[in-house]
Amino acid sequence: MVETLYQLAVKSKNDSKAVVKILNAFKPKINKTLKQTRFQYRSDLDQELQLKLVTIIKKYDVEKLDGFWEFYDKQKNFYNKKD
Amino acid sequence: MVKKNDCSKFHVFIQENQDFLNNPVIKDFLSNKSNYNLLRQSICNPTYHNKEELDRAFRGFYFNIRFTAYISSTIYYHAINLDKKMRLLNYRFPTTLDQPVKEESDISIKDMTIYHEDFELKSDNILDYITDSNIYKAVKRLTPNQRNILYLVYIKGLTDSETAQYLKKSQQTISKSRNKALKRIRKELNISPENCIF
Repeated sequence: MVETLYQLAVKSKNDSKAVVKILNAFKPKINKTLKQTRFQYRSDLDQELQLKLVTIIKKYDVEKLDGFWEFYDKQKNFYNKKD
Repeated sequence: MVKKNDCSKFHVFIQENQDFLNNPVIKDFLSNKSNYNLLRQSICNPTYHNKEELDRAFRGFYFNIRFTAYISSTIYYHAINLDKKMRLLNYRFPTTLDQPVKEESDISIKDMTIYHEDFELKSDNILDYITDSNIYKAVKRLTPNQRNILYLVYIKGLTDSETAQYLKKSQQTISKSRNKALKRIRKELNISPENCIF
């Protein structure tokens, strides 16, 4: 079974293989971004971007994400404030 | 056990929360039939288990959106920042070629790298510069205009837009006819574009 992004992110905290899988999933996006820079700098930029991604993937707090009802409450507050 | 269809609580919830249900995230989440049923379940039978199920499904879904957006924008902005940084560094620390190689030395890096050619070919015909007989034949078949453009771009080293200015044509015209000329040469030499360096 293909692992979902969520499962990978949970694992990534102490499993470097999961980080690599996430990186590979975002590789096309990185490649697209590389095209905006000059040819000489592309591999430098590639490396820097991947490095940055590793840090933010490891830092991303999966637990902090809202559940359905928390999201519901927040939205409710938001609409009430607007009215 | 309440039947699925006559769960009044659920209808009330739908009626009361139009705003919430129109939220793009929620709308997308509920457009999946099984998620919709989970929501119905957890409203009609608000057990801990049902709520947990809904939460789990939602977390997985919401995570995908948030995480992808986060990573994508990080890639985008970080790339811009790095690019800016490199440009700044290049601006602040340009490569200086005319400093002495060592202290108290007369020779600079520039002097060492420049190749002093004692014979210089001066001709404004590109054909005079070609040594390979096959390429010579191929270039000879081009139109005089194409040859002139190739001369200006590859011998003189002008850019497409400089060439355009010089010939009083548009840059698009120049790059089009240059590419066309290269294509013809390639065809003449039987080289596929992938194996070609120019």
